Amino acid sequence: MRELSFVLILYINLVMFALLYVYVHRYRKLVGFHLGMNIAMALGGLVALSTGIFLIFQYPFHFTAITMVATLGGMGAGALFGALFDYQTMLTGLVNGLMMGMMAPMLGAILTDPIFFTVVLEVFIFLIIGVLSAAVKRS
Amino acid sequence: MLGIIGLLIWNVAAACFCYFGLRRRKQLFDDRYATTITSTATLCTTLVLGMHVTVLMSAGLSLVFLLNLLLGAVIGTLFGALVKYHSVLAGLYNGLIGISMGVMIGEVLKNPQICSIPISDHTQLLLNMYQLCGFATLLLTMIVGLVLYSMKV
Repeated sequence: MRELSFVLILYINLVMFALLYVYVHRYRKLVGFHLGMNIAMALGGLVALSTGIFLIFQYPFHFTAITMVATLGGMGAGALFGALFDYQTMLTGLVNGLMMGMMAPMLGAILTDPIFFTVVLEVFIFLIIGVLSAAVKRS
Repeated sequence: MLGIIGLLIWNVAAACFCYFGLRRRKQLFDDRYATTITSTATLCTTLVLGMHVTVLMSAGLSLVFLLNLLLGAVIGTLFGALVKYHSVLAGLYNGLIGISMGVMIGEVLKNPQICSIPISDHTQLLLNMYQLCGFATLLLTMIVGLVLYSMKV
Protein backbone atom coordinates (compact mmCIF):
# COMPACT_ATOMS: atom_id res chain seq x y z
CA MET A 1 0.00 0.00 0.00
CA ARG A 2 2.80 2.37 0.90
CA GLU A 3 4.60 1.91 -2.40
CA LEU A 4 1.63 2.97 -4.48
CA SER A 5 0.57 6.01 -2.45
CA PHE A 6 1.18 8.58 -5.22
CA VAL A 7 -0.85 6.58 -7.71
CA LEU A 8 -3.68 6.41 -5.18
CA ILE A 9 -3.59 10.19 -4.72
CA LEU A 10 -3.66 10.59 -8.51
CA TYR A 11 -6.65 8.26 -8.69
CA ILE A 12 -8.52 10.31 -6.07
CA ASN A 13 -7.76 13.49 -8.01
CA LEU A 14 -9.02 12.00 -11.27
CA VAL A 15 -12.23 10.84 -9.61
CA MET A 16 -12.77 14.37 -8.29
CA PHE A 17 -12.25 15.83 -11.76
CA ALA A 18 -14.77 13.33 -13.15
CA LEU A 19 -17.31 14.40 -10.52
CA LEU A 20 -16.66 18.03 -11.45
CA TYR A 21 -17.26 17.13 -15.10
CA VAL A 22 -20.66 15.69 -14.22
CA TYR A 23 -21.46 18.79 -12.17
CA VAL A 24 -20.49 21.20 -14.96
CA HIS A 25 -22.37 19.06 -17.47
CA ARG A 26 -25.58 19.59 -15.51
CA TYR A 27 -25.20 23.40 -15.51
CA ARG A 28 -23.71 23.81 -18.98
CA LYS A 29 -26.65 25.75 -20.44
CA LEU A 30 -26.21 28.48 -17.83
CA VAL A 31 -22.46 28.99 -18.18
CA GLY A 32 -21.33 31.75 -20.49
CA PHE A 33 -18.46 31.35 -22.93
CA HIS A 34 -15.95 33.31 -20.89
CA LEU A 35 -16.36 31.14 -17.78
CA GLY A 36 -16.36 28.10 -20.03
CA MET A 37 -13.01 29.10 -21.50
CA ASN A 38 -11.54 29.52 -18.02
CA ILE A 39 -12.93 26.16 -16.89
CA ALA A 40 -11.42 24.38 -19.89
CA MET A 41 -8.01 26.03 -19.42
CA ALA A 42 -7.85 25.39 -15.67
CA LEU A 43 -9.05 21.78 -15.77
CA GLY A 44 -6.88 20.74 -18.72
CA GLY A 45 -3.85 22.20 -16.98
CA LEU A 46 -4.69 20.61 -13.63
CA VAL A 47 -5.24 17.12 -15.04
CA ALA A 48 -1.94 17.29 -16.95
CA LEU A 49 -0.08 18.71 -13.94
CA SER A 50 -1.29 16.12 -11.44
CA THR A 51 -0.81 13.22 -13.87
CA GLY A 52 2.73 14.21 -14.77
CA ILE A 53 3.93 15.05 -11.27
CA PHE A 54 2.46 12.06 -9.43
CA LEU A 55 3.47 9.55 -12.09
CA ILE A 56 7.04 10.79 -12.16
CA PHE A 57 7.18 10.63 -8.36
CA GLN A 58 6.09 7.02 -8.56
CA TYR A 59 8.09 5.78 -11.55
CA PRO A 60 11.17 8.01 -11.95
CA PHE A 61 12.79 5.91 -14.71
CA HIS A 62 10.17 6.31 -17.45
CA PHE A 63 10.44 9.97 -18.43
CA THR A 64 9.40 9.70 -22.08
CA ALA A 65 6.38 7.49 -21.53
CA ILE A 66 5.16 9.68 -18.68
CA THR A 67 5.51 12.81 -20.82
CA MET A 68 3.39 11.21 -23.53
CA VAL A 69 0.74 10.02 -21.07
CA ALA A 70 0.53 13.40 -19.32
CA THR A 71 0.29 15.31 -22.61
CA LEU A 72 -2.42 13.05 -24.02
CA GLY A 73 -4.32 13.13 -20.71
CA GLY A 74 -4.19 16.90 -20.45
CA MET A 75 -5.26 17.36 -24.07
CA GLY A 76 -8.12 14.91 -23.63
CA ALA A 77 -9.33 16.54 -20.44
CA GLY A 78 -9.13 20.06 -21.86
CA ALA A 79 -10.97 18.95 -25.00
CA LEU A 80 -13.68 17.18 -22.97
CA PHE A 81 -14.30 20.15 -20.70
CA GLY A 82 -14.20 22.55 -23.63
CA ALA A 83 -16.50 20.43 -25.78
CA LEU A 84 -19.31 21.10 -23.33
CA PHE A 85 -19.49 24.65 -24.64
CA ASP A 86 -17.96 25.47 -28.00
CA TYR A 87 -15.38 24.51 -30.63
CA GLN A 88 -13.08 27.44 -29.84
CA THR A 89 -13.23 26.62 -26.14
CA MET A 90 -12.19 23.09 -27.04
CA LEU A 91 -9.16 24.39 -28.95
CA THR A 92 -8.10 26.57 -26.01
CA GLY A 93 -8.37 23.74 -23.49
CA LEU A 94 -6.53 21.35 -25.81
CA VAL A 95 -3.54 23.63 -26.25
CA ASN A 96 -3.30 24.52 -22.57
CA GLY A 97 -3.33 20.83 -21.65
CA LEU A 98 -0.56 20.23 -24.19
CA MET A 99 1.72 22.89 -22.71
CA MET A 100 1.15 21.81 -19.11
CA GLY A 101 1.61 18.14 -19.97
CA MET A 102 4.96 18.85 -21.62
CA MET A 103 6.11 20.76 -18.54
CA ALA A 104 4.80 18.70 -15.64
CA PRO A 105 7.14 15.62 -15.63
CA MET A 106 10.14 17.94 -15.85
CA LEU A 107 8.90 19.89 -12.83
CA GLY A 108 8.33 16.69 -10.91
CA ALA A 109 11.80 15.40 -11.74
CA ILE A 110 13.58 18.41 -10.23
CA LEU A 111 11.79 18.33 -6.87
CA THR A 112 13.56 16.82 -3.91
CA ASP A 113 10.82 16.79 -1.25
CA PRO A 114 7.80 14.97 -2.70
CA ILE A 115 5.63 14.77 0.43
CA PHE A 116 5.62 18.50 1.16
CA PHE A 117 5.00 19.35 -2.48
CA THR A 118 2.12 16.86 -2.63
CA VAL A 119 0.41 18.54 0.33
CA VAL A 120 0.75 22.02 -1.19
CA LEU A 121 -0.46 20.83 -4.61
CA GLU A 122 -3.49 19.11 -3.08
CA VAL A 123 -4.41 22.29 -1.18
CA PHE A 124 -4.26 24.31 -4.39
CA ILE A 125 -6.23 21.73 -6.37
CA PHE A 126 -9.02 21.66 -3.80
CA LEU A 127 -9.05 25.47 -3.69
CA ILE A 128 -9.41 25.69 -7.48
CA ILE A 129 -12.15 23.04 -7.52
CA GLY A 130 -14.04 24.94 -4.80
CA VAL A 131 -13.77 28.27 -6.62
CA LEU A 132 -14.87 26.73 -9.92
CA SER A 133 -17.89 24.98 -8.46
CA ALA A 134 -18.93 28.18 -6.67
CA ALA A 135 -18.58 30.16 -9.90
CA VAL A 136 -20.65 27.61 -11.82
CA LYS A 137 -23.27 27.58 -9.07
CA ARG A 138 -23.65 31.38 -9.03
CA SER A 139 -23.81 31.87 -12.81
CA MET B 1 20.44 14.00 -36.05
CA LEU B 2 19.41 13.66 -39.70
CA GLY B 3 15.98 12.42 -38.67
CA ILE B 4 15.44 15.44 -36.45
CA ILE B 5 16.35 17.76 -39.36
CA GLY B 6 13.71 15.95 -41.41
CA LEU B 7 11.15 16.40 -38.64
CA LEU B 8 12.06 20.10 -38.38
CA ILE B 9 11.48 20.55 -42.13
CA TRP B 10 8.11 18.80 -41.80
CA ASN B 11 7.15 21.10 -38.91
CA VAL B 12 8.14 24.26 -40.76
CA ALA B 13 6.10 23.06 -43.73
CA ALA B 14 3.09 22.43 -41.47
CA ALA B 15 3.42 25.91 -39.91
CA CYS B 16 3.63 27.56 -43.34
CA PHE B 17 0.63 25.53 -44.53
CA CYS B 18 -1.36 26.69 -41.50
CA TYR B 19 -0.30 30.34 -41.98
CA PHE B 20 -1.18 30.55 -45.65
CA GLY B 21 -4.36 28.57 -45.13
CA LEU B 22 -5.47 31.06 -42.49
CA ARG B 23 -4.33 34.01 -44.56
CA ARG B 24 -6.44 33.02 -47.55
CA ARG B 25 -9.64 33.27 -45.53
CA LYS B 26 -8.83 36.16 -43.25
CA GLN B 27 -11.93 38.15 -44.16
CA LEU B 28 -14.12 35.67 -42.30
CA PHE B 29 -12.64 36.21 -38.84
CA ASP B 30 -14.39 38.04 -36.04
CA ASP B 31 -12.69 39.27 -32.89
CA ARG B 32 -12.92 36.34 -30.48
CA TYR B 33 -12.20 33.79 -33.20
CA ALA B 34 -9.04 35.65 -34.23
CA THR B 35 -7.72 35.65 -30.65
CA THR B 36 -8.45 31.94 -30.13
CA ILE B 37 -6.88 30.88 -33.40
CA THR B 38 -3.83 33.08 -32.83
CA SER B 39 -3.14 31.77 -29.34
CA THR B 40 -3.70 28.12 -30.31
CA ALA B 41 -1.59 28.07 -33.46
CA THR B 42 1.17 30.25 -32.00
CA LEU B 43 1.58 28.28 -28.75
CA CYS B 44 1.77 24.89 -30.43
CA THR B 45 3.97 26.00 -33.32
CA THR B 46 6.52 27.84 -31.20
CA LEU B 47 6.74 25.03 -28.62
CA VAL B 48 7.49 22.37 -31.21
CA LEU B 49 9.81 24.52 -33.33
CA GLY B 50 11.74 25.74 -30.29
CA MET B 51 12.22 22.17 -29.10
CA HIS B 52 13.60 21.02 -32.45
CA VAL B 53 15.85 24.07 -32.94
CA THR B 54 17.29 23.74 -29.42
CA VAL B 55 18.02 20.05 -29.89
CA LEU B 56 19.79 20.77 -33.16
CA MET B 57 21.92 23.73 -32.00
CA SER B 58 25.02 23.01 -29.95
CA ALA B 59 25.88 26.59 -28.88
CA GLY B 60 25.69 27.97 -25.34
CA LEU B 61 22.40 28.42 -23.55
CA SER B 62 22.32 32.24 -23.77
CA LEU B 63 22.81 32.36 -27.53
CA VAL B 64 20.24 29.60 -28.10
CA PHE B 65 17.74 31.37 -25.88
CA LEU B 66 18.26 34.74 -27.61
CA LEU B 67 17.82 33.29 -31.10
CA ASN B 68 14.78 31.31 -30.02
CA LEU B 69 13.14 34.35 -28.42
CA LEU B 70 13.57 36.28 -31.67
CA LEU B 71 12.03 33.35 -33.58
CA GLY B 72 9.08 33.19 -31.19
CA ALA B 73 8.44 36.93 -31.41
CA VAL B 74 8.50 36.79 -35.22
CA ILE B 75 6.11 33.81 -35.39
CA GLY B 76 3.73 35.32 -32.85
CA THR B 77 3.62 38.66 -34.65
CA LEU B 78 3.05 36.99 -38.02
CA PHE B 79 0.14 34.92 -36.74
CA GLY B 80 -1.26 37.84 -34.76
CA ALA B 81 -1.17 40.36 -37.58
CA LEU B 82 -3.47 38.32 -39.85
CA VAL B 83 -6.50 40.35 -38.79
CA LYS B 84 -6.39 44.10 -38.23
CA TYR B 85 -3.81 44.13 -35.41
CA HIS B 86 -6.37 43.05 -32.83
CA SER B 87 -4.50 39.99 -31.72
CA VAL B 88 -0.84 40.94 -31.96
CA LEU B 89 -0.66 41.08 -28.16
CA ALA B 90 -2.03 37.56 -27.73
CA GLY B 91 0.25 36.26 -30.46
CA LEU B 92 3.37 37.89 -29.00
CA TYR B 93 2.65 36.72 -25.46
CA ASN B 94 1.86 33.15 -26.44
CA GLY B 95 4.83 32.99 -28.78
CA LEU B 96 7.27 34.03 -26.05
CA ILE B 97 5.71 31.59 -23.52
CA GLY B 98 5.78 28.70 -25.97
CA ILE B 99 9.32 29.27 -27.12
CA SER B 100 10.63 29.45 -23.54
CA MET B 101 8.98 26.11 -22.78
CA GLY B 102 10.42 24.65 -25.98
CA VAL B 103 13.94 25.77 -25.06
CA MET B 104 13.57 24.14 -21.63
CA ILE B 105 12.42 20.83 -23.10
CA GLY B 106 15.20 20.87 -25.66
CA GLU B 107 17.88 21.56 -23.04
CA VAL B 108 16.60 18.72 -20.86
CA LEU B 109 16.60 16.39 -23.85
CA LYS B 110 20.19 17.31 -24.69
CA ASN B 111 21.42 16.90 -21.11
CA PRO B 112 19.07 14.95 -18.81
CA GLN B 113 21.35 15.42 -15.79
CA ILE B 114 19.84 18.91 -15.31
CA CYS B 115 16.61 17.35 -14.13
CA SER B 116 18.41 14.39 -12.48
CA ILE B 117 16.78 11.98 -14.89
CA PRO B 118 18.91 8.83 -14.78
CA ILE B 119 19.87 8.49 -18.46
CA SER B 120 23.56 8.43 -19.27
CA ASP B 121 23.89 6.08 -22.25
CA HIS B 122 24.40 7.85 -25.56
CA THR B 123 22.15 5.51 -27.54
CA GLN B 124 19.37 5.81 -25.04
CA LEU B 125 19.70 9.62 -25.09
CA LEU B 126 19.33 9.65 -28.88
CA LEU B 127 16.37 7.28 -28.71
CA ASN B 128 14.73 9.55 -26.12
CA MET B 129 15.23 12.58 -28.41
CA TYR B 130 13.75 10.78 -31.40
CA GLN B 131 10.71 9.58 -29.44
CA LEU B 132 9.81 12.98 -27.99
CA CYS B 133 10.48 14.87 -31.25
CA GLY B 134 8.33 12.45 -33.22
CA PHE B 135 5.55 12.74 -30.65
CA ALA B 136 5.69 16.55 -30.81
CA THR B 137 5.54 16.41 -34.61
CA LEU B 138 2.41 14.25 -34.44
CA LEU B 139 0.82 16.73 -32.03
CA LEU B 140 1.65 19.72 -34.24
CA THR B 141 0.20 17.99 -37.30
CA MET B 142 -2.98 17.16 -35.40
CA ILE B 143 -3.42 20.70 -34.09
CA VAL B 144 -2.81 22.27 -37.51
CA GLY B 145 -5.53 19.97 -38.83
CA LEU B 146 -7.91 21.02 -36.04
CA VAL B 147 -7.21 24.73 -36.61
CA LEU B 148 -7.80 24.46 -40.35
CA TYR B 149 -10.91 22.38 -39.73
CA SER B 150 -12.31 25.04 -37.39
CA MET B 151 -12.94 27.39 -40.31
CA LYS B 152 -15.56 25.00 -41.64
CA VAL B 153 -17.46 24.70 -38.34
